[in-house]
Amino acid sequence: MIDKELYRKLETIVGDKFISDSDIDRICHSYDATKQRAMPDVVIKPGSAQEVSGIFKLANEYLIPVYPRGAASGLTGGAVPLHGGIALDMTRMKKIDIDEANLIATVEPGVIISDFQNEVEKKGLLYPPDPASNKFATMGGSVAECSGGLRGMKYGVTKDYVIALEAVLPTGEIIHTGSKTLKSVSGYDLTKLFIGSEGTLGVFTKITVKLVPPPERIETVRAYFPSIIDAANTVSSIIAAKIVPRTLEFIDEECIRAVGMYTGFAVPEGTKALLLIETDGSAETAERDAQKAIDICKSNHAFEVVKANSEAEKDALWEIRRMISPALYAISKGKVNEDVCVPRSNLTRMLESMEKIGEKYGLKIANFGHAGDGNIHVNILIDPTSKEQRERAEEAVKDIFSEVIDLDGTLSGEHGIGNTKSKYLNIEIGQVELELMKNIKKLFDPNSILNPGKIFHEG
Amino acid sequence: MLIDEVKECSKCGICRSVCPVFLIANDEVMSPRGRLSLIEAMLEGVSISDIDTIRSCIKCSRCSVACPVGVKVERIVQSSRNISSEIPDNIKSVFKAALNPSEFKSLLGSSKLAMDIKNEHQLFCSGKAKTLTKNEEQLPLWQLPLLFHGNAYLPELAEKTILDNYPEYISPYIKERKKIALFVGCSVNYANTNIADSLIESLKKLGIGVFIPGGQICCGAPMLLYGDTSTASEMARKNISALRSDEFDAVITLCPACGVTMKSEYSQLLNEDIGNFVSKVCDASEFIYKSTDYMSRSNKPSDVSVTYHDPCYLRIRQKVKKEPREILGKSAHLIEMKDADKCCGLGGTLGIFHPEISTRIAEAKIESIVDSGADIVATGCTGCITFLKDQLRRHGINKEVLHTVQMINI
Repeated sequence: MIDKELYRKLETIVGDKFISDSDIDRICHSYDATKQRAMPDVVIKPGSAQEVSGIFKLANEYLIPVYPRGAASGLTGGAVPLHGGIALDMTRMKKIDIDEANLIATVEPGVIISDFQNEVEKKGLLYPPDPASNKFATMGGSVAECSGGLRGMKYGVTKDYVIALEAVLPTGEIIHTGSKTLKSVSGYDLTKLFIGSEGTLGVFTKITVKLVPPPERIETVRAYFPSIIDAANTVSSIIAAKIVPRTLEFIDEECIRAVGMYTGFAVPEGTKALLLIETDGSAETAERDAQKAIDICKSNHAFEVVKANSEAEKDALWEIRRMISPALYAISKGKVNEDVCVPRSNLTRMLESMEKIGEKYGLKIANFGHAGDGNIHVNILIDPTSKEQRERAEEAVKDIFSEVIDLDGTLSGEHGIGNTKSKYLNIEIGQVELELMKNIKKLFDPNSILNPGKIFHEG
Repeated sequence: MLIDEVKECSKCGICRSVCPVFLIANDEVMSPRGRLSLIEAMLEGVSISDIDTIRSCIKCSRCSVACPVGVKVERIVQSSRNISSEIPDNIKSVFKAALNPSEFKSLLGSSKLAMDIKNEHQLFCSGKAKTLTKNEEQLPLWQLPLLFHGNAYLPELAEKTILDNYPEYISPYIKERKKIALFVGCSVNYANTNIADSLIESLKKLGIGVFIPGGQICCGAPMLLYGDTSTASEMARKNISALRSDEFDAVITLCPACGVTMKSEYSQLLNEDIGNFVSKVCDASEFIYKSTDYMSRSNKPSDVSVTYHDPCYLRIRQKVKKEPREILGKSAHLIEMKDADKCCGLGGTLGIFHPEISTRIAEAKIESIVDSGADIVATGCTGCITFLKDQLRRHGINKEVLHTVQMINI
């Protein structure tokens, strides 16, 4: 329970409708998509940068932690109020302002990604970052985690689109980083520092992003392969042929089998891997690239390659990808999901090692994801009620991480470190670099009140 | 175990994108994930001070359809109602009365509150609406499916109920091809009697013998909403035995809430094999479409335009989508409104406990209706009809709202 006097002061800032220490509000702001739970003492829903600033000033005075959150759909514990204190729910701030003259837009952090994409689309434009959670995750959360998604290979990720931020520092100052221009080299790039900082350096109150004209045509291709190696080689060959598909998704045998059991989806016998490829651009480019990709699939032993001829057929080709998540739940009540990423040329080796690690620990591992950018979602299927299986999975995760680092990869492509991976961070980040990061955190947040317990492992 | 079902929720948050209540309330405590978390806490022994947010679930099952894990949220919410609150005595007594139609009728017909509401209804019609006082809000009848929030449009109670007005067997005008048992449902029986009148007349012309088995009572949905499973089970048993499904080609419902209750709750409530009862129950639109020759008749649609609103309990929970549209297209010019499958806002008890959210959900629906430009709004649920009439009126829009079966033209 927080100090009564502090509660009253916070209430003066946001108004009594937007602060609560009731059990129901605290319970409902205690978790995120990792299923971890930690109860905040108070839930606050600010409506402006000024209010956030006032909250931070009080939090520093009273030394109480503040945990910002959007939709709480994060996968590494970023929004979980580990040490209690204030859960700062940013979802009231929902303004969208599209500047067609400059092909940019400024949004508030509580805007749902797909709501923004839809508004942008109405103006005949495109905001390319497209995480799978776009229908419920917020823009604030996606900038804090630097979300990627399905179009990363050609269009990049969130950090490639954010050009300016209004943020509130943990010490209460409202700052502006970057510029509404497409080029700007004045001073250090604080915007990039904030993106992917997982809510540890500040809270965004305005996010300015650039927009692009949408492609004229999108072509969708699905190919079945007799081996993982053939599929992985296809990915390398496509890249070597200087084709940049907008999407290049890989799905392994375990996922295919799960979807088959779940939906009755049938694949040719002997299918060990599947690729979903989308090319885009002018009608001519999209078609030409799709044809090239089809040829490459075939020369890499794909035994069936289908191209969609209508929107309905495209939708049908995507069905298997959409069904993976529910299908995996249907065959296994629990999964440990890691989103490791390796240089694309090492994809084949990485997938081979996943198979070996699975065998070593006697665990099923289902792999799918964004092969085009080397970002694979590795899912260890376990029974979450079995302590023994959970422990084995944890050992396997360690092996996966060290293997990925050996392959010049990274622990997380798009989900973040949060608290679930913080103990592994030193596998990837060197001592000097880690100290530098900790010092940056200290500089921004001397009292460590903002999202404590995240990114850096608490010993 | 309920707790195991609750714990299956992966807390991914996808349900926040589909829950009609959350999308308006924008508050985690009123999201499916939030409700499950509160139920989880309760089951773990935390005493929750306010269960109102759990009650804000309209049980439309959109979240369960979207859930990657397959958590049946509406079922858990329902079960939780057994543990979450003591049912107030006054409501219990109404539920008990509902087991006995004559007692129930006298309660409805003569109680002071029913009169008050009747009076209020008249006040509203003459433009002098008043809000119920706090005291009146606590009266038991307030919670009945017929009666909605203060100032609302309410259908008038019928002089004579359907069960009183018709003989048990109504023979068709032509040779009998099939025979059905009609489950009337409270709302149609006591108030919206003209809906049953229309259906019966059409069935007579289609050669369908209509039985209205006596002894049928409330389906049990309101009791389930309160978690009174023992009264609901008793109702299930009485209705199953009254409706004698073995003897008929179908048991027809006019209200999707009754339909869902009988199709998917009865077998669970009684925890026993109820034979082919479930397979016999169907919505009136399903029966007309599939089991009569109405669709193959050569009538020319009139110039009247109609737009159709999907009741949550029909479209999502019973997967009935095509049938009412085909039926409407047979007699009128059907205009598909934007987002026809979005909730009207009534959402069972949502309209009672959270009228402000309910009204805000309705805004988009009213806009869709107006934009469609149709002369008439049709839908398949008496709750939706009542609420849409109320909301249209509040927006100053004069449009008829009819049940699908009232549009059948033979």
